[in-house]
Amino acid sequence: MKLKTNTFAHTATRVAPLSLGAVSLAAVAMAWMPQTMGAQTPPPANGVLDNFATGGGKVAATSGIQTVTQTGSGIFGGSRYIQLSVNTADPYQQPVQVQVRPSNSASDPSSLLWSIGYGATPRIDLEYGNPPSAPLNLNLTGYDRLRVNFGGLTGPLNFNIEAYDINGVGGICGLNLVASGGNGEANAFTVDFPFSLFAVATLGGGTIDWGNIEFFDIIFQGGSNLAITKFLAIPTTSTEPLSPNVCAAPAT
Amino acid sequence: MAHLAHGAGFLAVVAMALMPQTMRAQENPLVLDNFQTGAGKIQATSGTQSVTQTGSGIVGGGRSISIVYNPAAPSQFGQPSTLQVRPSADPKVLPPALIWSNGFDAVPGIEVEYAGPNADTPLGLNLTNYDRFRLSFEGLSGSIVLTAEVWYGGSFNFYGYQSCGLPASNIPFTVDIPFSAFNPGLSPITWSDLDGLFFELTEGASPLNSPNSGDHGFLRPSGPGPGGHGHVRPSRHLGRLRDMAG
Repeated sequence: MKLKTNTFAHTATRVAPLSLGAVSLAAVAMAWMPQTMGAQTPPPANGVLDNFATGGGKVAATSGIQTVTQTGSGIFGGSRYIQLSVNTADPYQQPVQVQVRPSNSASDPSSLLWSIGYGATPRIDLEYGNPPSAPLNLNLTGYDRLRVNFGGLTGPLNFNIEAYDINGVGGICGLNLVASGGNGEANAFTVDFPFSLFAVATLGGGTIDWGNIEFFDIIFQGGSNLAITKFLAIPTTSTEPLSPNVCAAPAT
Repeated sequence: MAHLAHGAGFLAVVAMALMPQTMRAQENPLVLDNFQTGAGKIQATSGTQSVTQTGSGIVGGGRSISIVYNPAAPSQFGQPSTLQVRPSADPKVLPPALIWSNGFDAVPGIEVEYAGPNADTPLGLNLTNYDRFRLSFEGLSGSIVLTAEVWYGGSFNFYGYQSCGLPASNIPFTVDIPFSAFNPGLSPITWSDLDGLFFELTEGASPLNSPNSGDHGFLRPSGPGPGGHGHVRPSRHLGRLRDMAG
């Protein structure tokens, strides 16, 4: 199954390496910066980068772009940025909502929830680290993959993670997912993003320095309701088996 | 018009009509509601939300629409369900529609009722020259059960009903509900003088696999026994979803 390759063509509304042009410029500029802008920090012992138990809030739109920055102690780096983009050409302009909903309940755990109105074709960029002012300086040495835990997915989804290191070298890995059940009965599952499968997408090539990650952009594209419950890194030494859902480099 | 993504959302119904008995006459069906008048929207995360909308394009001059959550099954994640009647500035480009959108894990039902502008005025609708209802869907992103009821007796004394299951579709389709398939109440259905019309749509898997014909679905109104449903009409049908699921 070929992946969509338009993730880098997204029009950003702020200074972020989302568009190809922006990425290229960032890569050139940042190549002259020292490689250690700040002390690199490993993930917490459990590897969880965000459990959505802190920084609650939501954004909604029927058209155009809405953004929010949420802060919390359970977020690696202290904040997450959510950009919701709803296609202005959607015929019925039905509401789309992204909500981070902390919870103490096991039946409806803390989640990022995406609820999509009829006929809408939106996109979410869920970002960690806001270059250049607040890079993550995340040291993933000793880890070999990222994982996203889904609480459920009710339809098709194009799902990608972009990762950028402190030198501006960025790569992407993604896959197309299918529903894990209907609305109200969707099952939980995981998606793994092995570091080795990220394809460098920034001009100039290079290799992503996983020992000093500056920025993640988790990209959701599709018309499906979903919930994700964790974003985490898995140690190389983990006995946790690889998820059946593994990303691939985008088709060229 | 581009076909819609087949994922979340839920449905858009673009017209409710009656089809005459003869093919020639079918060129001129009686449109009960084309959703071009009586605009408005309701939203709910639990309980019941209703609104009565009025318009010249609605049979009897008014429709009541409701979102109904089973009290035992609210949306755990608090995500919204919305129901909107959305007229169109250019129906040739985009049809006016009744649009139902459900958030993650939200599984309510919706009700659409025709009983005059105050939701309590007998329509006096004479359907003698027609033989079926037709609902035109623009799309449907998950399976549902559709139940149609006709109320009659002069003061909403009785109702007959028919249910059918509909699978998901990302292309437009129609559903016909023949009058002959309706289960009558305690008295034979007087198709020449109907008091009101009521449609209920509930999200969920269906045992049926026939998208284009009304048939006996698995939902069954509670009542005094097979073939004998003679309930006094409940006020505005609020809470009917719970009754229907019994």
